[in-house]
Amino acid sequence: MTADEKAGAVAVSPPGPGLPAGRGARLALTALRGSRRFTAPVAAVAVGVVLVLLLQGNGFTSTLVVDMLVYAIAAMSLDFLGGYAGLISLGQAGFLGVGAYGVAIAEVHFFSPWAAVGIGLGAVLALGLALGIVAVRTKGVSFVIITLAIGQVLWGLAFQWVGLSEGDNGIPLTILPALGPFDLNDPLTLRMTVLVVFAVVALLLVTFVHSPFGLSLRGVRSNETRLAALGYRTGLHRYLAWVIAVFFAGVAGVLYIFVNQLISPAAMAFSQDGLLVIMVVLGGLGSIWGPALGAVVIVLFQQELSIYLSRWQTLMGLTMIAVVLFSPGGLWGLVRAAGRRRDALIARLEAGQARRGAS
Amino acid sequence: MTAPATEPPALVADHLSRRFRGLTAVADVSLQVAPGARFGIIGPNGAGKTTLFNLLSGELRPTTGSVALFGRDITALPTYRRAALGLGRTFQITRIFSDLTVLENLTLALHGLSRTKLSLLRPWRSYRGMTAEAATLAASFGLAQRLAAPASDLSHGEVRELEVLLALALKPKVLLLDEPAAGLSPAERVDIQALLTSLPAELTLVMIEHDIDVLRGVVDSAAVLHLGSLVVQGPMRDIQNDERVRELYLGGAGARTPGILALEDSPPPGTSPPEEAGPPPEAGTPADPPPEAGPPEGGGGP
Amino acid sequence: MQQFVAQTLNGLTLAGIIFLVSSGFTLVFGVMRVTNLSHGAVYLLGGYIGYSVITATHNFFYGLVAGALAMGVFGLLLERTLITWLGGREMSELLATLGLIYVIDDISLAIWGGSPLTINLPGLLGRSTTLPISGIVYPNDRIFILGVSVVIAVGLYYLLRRTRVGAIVRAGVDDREMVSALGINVRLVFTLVFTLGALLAGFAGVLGGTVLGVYTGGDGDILLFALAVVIIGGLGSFEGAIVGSLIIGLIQNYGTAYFPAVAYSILFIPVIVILLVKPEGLLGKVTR
Repeated sequence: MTADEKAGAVAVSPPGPGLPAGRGARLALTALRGSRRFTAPVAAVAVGVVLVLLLQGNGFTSTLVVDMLVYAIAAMSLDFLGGYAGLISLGQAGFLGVGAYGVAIAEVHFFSPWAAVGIGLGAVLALGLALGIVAVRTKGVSFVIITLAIGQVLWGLAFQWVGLSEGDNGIPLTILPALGPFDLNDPLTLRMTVLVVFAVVALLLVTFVHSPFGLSLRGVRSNETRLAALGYRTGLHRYLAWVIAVFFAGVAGVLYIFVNQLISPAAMAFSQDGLLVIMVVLGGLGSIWGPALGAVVIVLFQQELSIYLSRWQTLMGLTMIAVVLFSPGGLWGLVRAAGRRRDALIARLEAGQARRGAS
Repeated sequence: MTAPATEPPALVADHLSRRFRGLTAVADVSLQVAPGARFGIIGPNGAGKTTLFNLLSGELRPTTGSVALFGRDITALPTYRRAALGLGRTFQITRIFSDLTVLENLTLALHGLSRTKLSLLRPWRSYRGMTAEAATLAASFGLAQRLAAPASDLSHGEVRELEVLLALALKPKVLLLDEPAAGLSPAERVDIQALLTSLPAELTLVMIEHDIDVLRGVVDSAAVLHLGSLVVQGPMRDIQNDERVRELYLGGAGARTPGILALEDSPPPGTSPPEEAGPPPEAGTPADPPPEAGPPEGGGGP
Repeated sequence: MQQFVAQTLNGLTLAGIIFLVSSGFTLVFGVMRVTNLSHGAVYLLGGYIGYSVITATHNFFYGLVAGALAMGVFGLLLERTLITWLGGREMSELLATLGLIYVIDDISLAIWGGSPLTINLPGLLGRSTTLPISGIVYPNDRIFILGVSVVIAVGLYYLLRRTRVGAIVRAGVDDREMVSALGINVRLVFTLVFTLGALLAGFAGVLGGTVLGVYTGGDGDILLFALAVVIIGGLGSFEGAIVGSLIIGLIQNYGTAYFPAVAYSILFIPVIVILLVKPEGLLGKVTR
């Protein structure tokens, strides 16, 4: 089960006679019940406020947060494909690169910035639609291998097709889109736009996940042959999930080049594909929000930890291994587990209250 | 068999064969099942029954032969299309969505033949009609309390019930049941039998089963398979009295080596699963005493 | 024409190296269903170790042995710890070995630095020979690689097809449960196969270090080749690894020689063709 769904299922052991009732217990019960109702909305608002504050500044922190948001988009869309449909892609960075390169190459050929965005997204969509036909002929391990190959081939093109991509040097981007007063060339506007796009993508993905289509993806992951016997054209569902995931990676790519004002093949290297998968797994495969958390952690590893620890990549790899071994639900899974423990505690307190009330 | 001439049979298998790299799992099997019939498929383990089902429901393509549903040739159609045409199926090794809740299992099934399964923007829980229908379906077979439970938490009997419910959710016209009572305790078998007899009369049932009580309570006629070939088909009474059938179940027990059977009939990995070695067919299969009391012929099998 | 023959030989040399890496990968998958993404990193680490030993001792063969043995031991330890702890969960094995790549790469970076290294071969291997018939002057180290790859391929083929151990391994690819039911120590077979795979990869790393160099990112490159090979040849198929390596090695080499702009991506064409026509691979038998 996904980390999310595990928490929702009623699988709590019976509370037994419960904890002794008393004023302390009553207070604790009220507090815990309150936290259950208010934690999520309060946390969301708090995070939103923190993000806006962080993005106001013009320094290192705001750049860091923007990076986190961009990667979070790519990671969350990867989770949609990997955690829900069960198709883990090791080529997501390749599509991020296509989005970015699309914008850059279009501007090099004198398209206007908005047109360039359209071309970038269009390129990702076209490539996703075409490659999806091949990619969804495989599942499980073979799918991982195919997507790795796709990602590497895209990287190879960026590296070697120098006429188009200018090879290792990459392509800089100087002009960002503007629409009247709304000018992405202004750093603050750009950062806020990234936040808004992130929020929109996140909400879309969460909506998709809870839709019948999202349920069908979980069915594909759980027992695809049964789903087919129930009338589902499972290949189509996997294809659509792929196209959605790849498209949002392209969206992340467009934001990426806006923010970094440069795209080079390094952004599409295998280590980047791996990084995105690590973000998803670390954050929580199949939780949609977890990967955003994973992106935060990994970007912190990359930018902050690297200052103090040269061997931060070793630590990151070991953390990945540890998560796979001990906490497959990732960080989000830990959060959910805490929530379940709280629910169990509430149940025991309530049982204790009930006993006291009954006697 | 006794269907009016104007109405096409619900299900027709026409000279169906399936070979796997030198092994013939199903050999030239032809069947006709009338609409509303209660038809059984019986035979010793390794007879090719599940492979036959796989051919009928689309998990496998036949090497030769065809399948027709209400007169329509479905041989080339993939499984999901056959489901849309009214062919439902349960699996011998249960295939439920074990990491989803019972409610989610049923919801998935209910959306199966509806456009809504591709809907992206509405939460699936907001389809109140579907949720109510799922609850009704679960309640009708005693699973109402278990809606929120993950399917992995269900008892074996409940899993078998869910297995049938998932197929029923599609409101099929023909239902293929693969050993619905396998592995159940006697009490659970009673429940399953009750479930099966309560199914609508218009529904055509084709059932693979070893348990003679379940068969007798549900099935009017049957076909007997052995090593992929059809031995005999007809009303249950005729089958129970048939010499060849009694040989199969009684006489050859010592002469056949299960190991050889398993080797001959197990398809390569990655294709249909070999039939589960279920409980051996009960020695007392023929209900009536044999007309001539004579020693069963040994060596009746290969 | 001479150029073409030389390029063909280069392609075959590359095919040999790729074969050594991909045969280990495919056998480990076939027998254990483990997708060891760190296989490329093992290759690279073997190359680094070989480089150090050769530089210190000026003896190529010490380097070869060191690289192979060190990686064999590494594989043995890895199988007994991480792989065993993961308990057969395929996706988890894949993800954990993904994490392992970063560990191996980073430690290699710490020890050997980020600059590409070339293994300079002393003596006879550092020279070239004039080949008969075509009159091409071809480097001896490549001739050696070609020869060694063929010998090992033949040896592995013999091992798999003619020995009892090989029969067990092949049976394990087909039906693991049956092998276990026959009373064979499957755990031991797993460890042996995994260790052998790592040993071959380390060995290949030293060989590859001479003609391809030892460089950061070399693990990704060789892994991609190996994965292309197993897609084309079929996951779990030894013969498929031979066929696939020949195809990939030759195509990659001709591509780099004649179409440098898209050489890397040309690899993709046979991969796509296979996926569209025969997704389980040319000689594939294992369904995932």
